[in-house]
Amino acid sequence: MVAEVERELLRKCRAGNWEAYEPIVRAYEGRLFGLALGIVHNGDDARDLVQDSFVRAFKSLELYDSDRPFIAWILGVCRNLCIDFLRRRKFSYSLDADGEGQPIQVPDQRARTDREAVDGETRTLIWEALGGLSEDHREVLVLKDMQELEYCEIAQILNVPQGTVASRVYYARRALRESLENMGVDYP
Amino acid sequence: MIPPHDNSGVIPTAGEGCSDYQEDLVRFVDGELQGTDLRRFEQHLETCTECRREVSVFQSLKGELQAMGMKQPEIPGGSVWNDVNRKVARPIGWIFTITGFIMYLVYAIYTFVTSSGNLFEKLMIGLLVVGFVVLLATVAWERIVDYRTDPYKGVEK
Ligand SMILES: [Zn+2]
Repeated sequence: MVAEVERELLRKCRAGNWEAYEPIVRAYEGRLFGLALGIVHNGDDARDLVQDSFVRAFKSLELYDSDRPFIAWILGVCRNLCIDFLRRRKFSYSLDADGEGQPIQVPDQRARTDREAVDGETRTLIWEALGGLSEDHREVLVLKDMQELEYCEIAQILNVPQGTVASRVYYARRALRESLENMGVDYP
Repeated sequence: MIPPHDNSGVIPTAGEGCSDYQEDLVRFVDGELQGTDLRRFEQHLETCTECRREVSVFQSLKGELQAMGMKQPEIPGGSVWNDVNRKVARPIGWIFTITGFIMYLVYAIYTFVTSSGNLFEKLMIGLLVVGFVVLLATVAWERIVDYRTDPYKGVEK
């Protein structure tokens, strides 16, 4: 979205004109859904979280610093809601023996050819491995490699120094590799 | 400029001092390592098979994560705009509705009190209306209390 158009729409939103919010929601909902799905690993929950993020953001638009790209800010709002959601889920499941017993959904974007079936299998394994990582490791990989954000942007979203982000990315990648190796995927 | 602690003249055994390069290594893989840091790390890479191996593993992991196409996947059930719209617009709708209702009520009471007609008749109608409103309010209050003690609330910390 063009920056000036976005700024003008957000100005109208701040004035209480919620219809100006529609193009904003439509422009960024895919990004938020990618982030939420990566972190919570469940499509229905991710959809609800995207919705809540936009509602929450609209109500606290006065906190948004317009010098920053809106997408970076709202990704941060969404990330915080996802983490709250996971903590709440962990809390409400803490009486269950098997902890996070949510079914893992593997994203299947398109019909597969033979070649893609092989890729698809690797993707399934990676998706499963990602779901098994710790919250910190999973979110940092989703932000870095799926949302393709830079270290400085991730640092702002997570509210930690860039060095911490880099070190988390390092350990997250190691953990992912280890978990894939345990699933029988070998890296040379 | 080469930093003073650089040991490029010495060939380290594999893995020695590699822990100092963890952050540089991921920044290198992500294309965010520049200048002196980049040159220092590249020199280390030339002599360190461990880090070269790690770089190539990380590059392929990164490639596979990116290839999943999860940056902005399609949302099952379509756009969330309608739900967002409802939730954002509803409070504003309530404010208008309640304000309008109160203004109408004040106007109606004023008209009723100042209208011609005998006092007894006004008293009868007044009692009927007040009684009805009180009943309605108690029912509404019960519903609100029920909603607040919903078991879902217990899920929150
Ligand atoms: Zn090394």
